[in-house]
Amino acid sequence: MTTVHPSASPAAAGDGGRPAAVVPATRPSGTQGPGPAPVRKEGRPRIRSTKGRDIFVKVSMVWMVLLAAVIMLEPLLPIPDPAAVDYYAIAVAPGQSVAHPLGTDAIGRDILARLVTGGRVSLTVGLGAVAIAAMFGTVLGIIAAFFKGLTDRVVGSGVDIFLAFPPLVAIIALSVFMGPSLSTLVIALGLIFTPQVARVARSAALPYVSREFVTAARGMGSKEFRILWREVAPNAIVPVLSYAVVLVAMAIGAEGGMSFLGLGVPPPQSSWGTMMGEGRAVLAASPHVVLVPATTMFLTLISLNFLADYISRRFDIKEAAL
Amino acid sequence: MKLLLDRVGRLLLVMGGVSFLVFLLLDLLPGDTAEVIVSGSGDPSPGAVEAMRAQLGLDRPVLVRYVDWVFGATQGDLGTSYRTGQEVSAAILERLPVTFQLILMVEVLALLVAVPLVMLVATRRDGILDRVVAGCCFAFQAIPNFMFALLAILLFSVTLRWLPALGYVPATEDFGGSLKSLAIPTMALAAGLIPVYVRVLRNEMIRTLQEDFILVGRALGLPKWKLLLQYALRPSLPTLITVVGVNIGTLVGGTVIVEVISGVPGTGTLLLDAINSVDYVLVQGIVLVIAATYVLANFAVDLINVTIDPRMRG
Repeated sequence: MTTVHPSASPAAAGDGGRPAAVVPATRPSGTQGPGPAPVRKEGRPRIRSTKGRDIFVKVSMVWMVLLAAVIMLEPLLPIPDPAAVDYYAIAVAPGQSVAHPLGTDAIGRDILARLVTGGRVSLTVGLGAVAIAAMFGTVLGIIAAFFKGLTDRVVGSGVDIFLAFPPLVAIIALSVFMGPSLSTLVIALGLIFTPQVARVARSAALPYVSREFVTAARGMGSKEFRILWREVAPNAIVPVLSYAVVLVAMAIGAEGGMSFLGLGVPPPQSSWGTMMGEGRAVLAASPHVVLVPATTMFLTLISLNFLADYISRRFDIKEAAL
Repeated sequence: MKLLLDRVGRLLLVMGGVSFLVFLLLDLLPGDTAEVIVSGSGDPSPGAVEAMRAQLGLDRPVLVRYVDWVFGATQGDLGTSYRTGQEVSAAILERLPVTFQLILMVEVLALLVAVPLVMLVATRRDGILDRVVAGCCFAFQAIPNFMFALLAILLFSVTLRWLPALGYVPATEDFGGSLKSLAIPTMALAAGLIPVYVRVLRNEMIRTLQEDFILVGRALGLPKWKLLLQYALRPSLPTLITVVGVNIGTLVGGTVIVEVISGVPGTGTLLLDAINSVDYVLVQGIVLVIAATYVLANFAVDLINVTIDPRMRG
């Protein structure tokens, strides 16, 4: 949450992330390619060490698919009730018990089961919030870039105001106003991320607004709205998409922070953040109560970052081939 | 000069917007200060609540109260907390130095790690060290800072017993102890910043190292450290300064969770307390201060950049 670092982690935003920024400098047009050419996939020019990263991308994809599958198929899987308390197995470490493969928490609930149900909350918040932010943010950003002038100034000022607003206050105020619930959290985080998406969308759309094909479309008598939708928007969408994936990771992290403070989803439900928050009290005696959800969350967040990085690299290479 | 006016206008606009937003938001919330006070005094009748509202001036329209509050704020009067009876500005001033100390420590630590690391890495681009650092940065920036705080507590207080997990010692009492008491939150927050700084500075540094004057320096046989430190670092700094400034601005509102975890009595903890105890006057004041710091940090960055790089005056 907060701490959400609005400007701190746009890994794939703006400059296209670290790897993308390195690529143009090291890619001499054609001839100086590293190693023999035939191994390259699809004949795309690649710098070395990309291969190693592709493995990470594949592993990330596998992890995300696995996570999504387990969360969706949870009713069909032989997973114990996440709220059931096993009095004979309090704070069992992972690998110590056949009944509880990932151990139990301080009051004897199965950690694996709680991870699965908590993962549903975390992923719902991540995807839902970013869906809202991506929708409104993209529209606002592209409109600001397209119409320029007053529209741009108004949107820009709105973005500035929202970025200066402490996100925690917004979340808490909304959850007091609408009652603490999963949907409140989704809407609040969605609103918080909207200005960030708007910024990325605006800067992604700006270079295209004055390109020849836009002038051509206008010359052919296209309506302004059609130009906006058919000519400018599709070009701005890839950077937004890549940033949106990073934002999903940030939203999951932010939700974790809120739940950790006890301000997230209300009690009967729990997320990975709730699990860590509860585990904090027994950190010294049984650190696994914190470490297991922390590891799960870390794997999810880093997978999302790898995927975002992959998307922005794909985009960059296509651009370079033009 | 035109730019300056433009920025000042923007600054006022943002602060006005943020404060009005908070005012409106808090006004919409169910349960106001009058109810809290009255229910605390043991006479929760509607008449008593109404009387208290009138006494506090809460029965006036929002806009009137907002204008009133802004007038007060321009004179440094942010109102009085109904709960503690303390002046809001005094309550904030009491906590602000703690948060500022934390932010200062975070920035110093982050730069102390990031700058030398980039110097090591930039000369051997794509070497083993470079790739290890890039990998670590990638992993670090995926971790939310409350998780860093938890892991740091686990490692340094629970296992190694080097650092205290909770509490704060004022710097005026015991300087070393003060640094030690803030060590864990500092590390937790810096861990998220270091990857950002490394990425920014590394890109700039690599660009600078391709300049002709570096080649000349190398041809003249200057030692590597001198070349890096004296000639390559300075032209690479502007972007980093911008990023550091922006991050100082966001940190003021972004330390809340870490402050709460480590029991640091800064503005973050104060904000959370104020929200939990429905002390809206205090919340308004803190939000204004947070927004002001954010805007001022951005403003300062613009000024610094314009001063060191005349091209940006355009």
